[in-house]
Amino acid sequence: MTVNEYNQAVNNFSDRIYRYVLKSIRDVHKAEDIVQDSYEKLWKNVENVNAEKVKSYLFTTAYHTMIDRIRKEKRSSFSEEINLKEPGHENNYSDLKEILDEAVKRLPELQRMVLLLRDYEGYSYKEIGEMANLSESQVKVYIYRARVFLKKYIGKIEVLV
Amino acid sequence: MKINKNNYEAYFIDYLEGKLDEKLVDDFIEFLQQNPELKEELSLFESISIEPENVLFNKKETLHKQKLDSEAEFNKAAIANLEGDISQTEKTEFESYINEHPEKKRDVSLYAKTKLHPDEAILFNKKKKLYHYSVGKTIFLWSGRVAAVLVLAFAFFTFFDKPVTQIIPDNKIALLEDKTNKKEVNSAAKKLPSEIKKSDTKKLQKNNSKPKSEKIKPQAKPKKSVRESTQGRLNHEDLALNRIPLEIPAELKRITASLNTQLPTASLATIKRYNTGIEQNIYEERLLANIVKEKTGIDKFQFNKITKAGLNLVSSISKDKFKYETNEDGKVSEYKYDSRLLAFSIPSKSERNSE
Repeated sequence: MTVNEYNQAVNNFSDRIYRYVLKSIRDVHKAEDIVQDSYEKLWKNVENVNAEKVKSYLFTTAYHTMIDRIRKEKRSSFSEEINLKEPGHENNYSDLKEILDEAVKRLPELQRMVLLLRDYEGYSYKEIGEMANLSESQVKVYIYRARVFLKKYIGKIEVLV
Repeated sequence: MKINKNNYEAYFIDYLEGKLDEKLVDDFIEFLQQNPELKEELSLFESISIEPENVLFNKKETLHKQKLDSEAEFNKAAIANLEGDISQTEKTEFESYINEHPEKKRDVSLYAKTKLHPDEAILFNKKKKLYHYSVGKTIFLWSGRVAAVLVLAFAFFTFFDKPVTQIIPDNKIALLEDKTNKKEVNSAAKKLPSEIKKSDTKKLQKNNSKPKSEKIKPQAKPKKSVRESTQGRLNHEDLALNRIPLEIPAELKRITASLNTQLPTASLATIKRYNTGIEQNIYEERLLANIVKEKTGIDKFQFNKITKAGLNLVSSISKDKFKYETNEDGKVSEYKYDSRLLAFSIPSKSERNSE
């Protein structure tokens, strides 16, 4: 990968990676740091990375950097449980996007990250599995659980509204 | 327990169902022989039997369950359908199921809503930090930065080191302007263009031929000063009378002076220049400082511009970690520094004072 190709990767993918990371961890400064870290790692390996696979390389790096950061912060393994706090009446939702945002916030980190890779970037189960070091069936299960939760959450709010 | 008239019914039922213990059979037969009326009752028991009626349940279909009736299976199929991870037969089965169960359409639409879409308005604004350049370009950039620092330093030097000629000495005495002479000059200057317009070239030649002394009118004799007329001998009262009060206007008006020169009307002799063939390089002696000033426009600089140039330089060197903000007047209002280890924001001195 040449320097020009690297800079092209900055133009093409930095916004998308930033969106993905920001949605996953919901912290602007951390998201910026993680994007920069990912590109620094890419720059260190610029000679070994194929230009055609740079996007998945960046997303993989961003994913694992996020996992490391979350583990350090939590000092434990990830929670598999969904935040089952009932959607309250006090929330004034104006549209579906807000409801969905709230629901996504409540998803466990891994489910959220995997689902975002699927929906934002359209990666297949297999590709996500390779990126996140998960089996294809594990990815399927994460996405299945996440969608069931989101559907139930939206359904409840719709009934409340 | 021995069989008697109070408990014989239980023995009868066990006997009829073939469950009577073999040890009790002898006692049971002996009891029947002793009680012939009960033997007759037993024969009545034997004839009783109920045959089941041939009745059918007609609503079996309502009780049947399909695979997709299971919530888990439905969710699985709905999500697979959403993800495009469903076979053609499963898809057909799913769609027909939805058609048969319209109440399930809401679930399908809710699943469709769980598809997340990225917000395109969110952009990564620190791309500059990510760019890398080739070695040649890096050297060029750094040399440019060094050059910029030198230019700035030179600009500071020229700004603070003013030339000696501009410094007005303390003991300099202001010269008084002679108003009478100026008026004459102005009137002469005003007259000249009209005269030139009226007169043709011939007249001019004639005028030139006449002696100048004839044209100039004799000037009025200058008045003698008080000192000259009185020869310095005046009493205090007379001196006070001779004093001319000076009227000082509230606002001093500017006196504009214009100088019109009479253009020569006579045609100038043409000068012929011959090229000797020998090239001569003309060197203009100019100071390097003046060249730099012209090229960079530093001679028109302001202090604020220099400050901004310096801050921009610091910002570019620190890879945008250091930033500053300006107010509406273009003055620096706030300094910001943001790195992984340290981040702060300081309002400028003027901004603090205004607050």
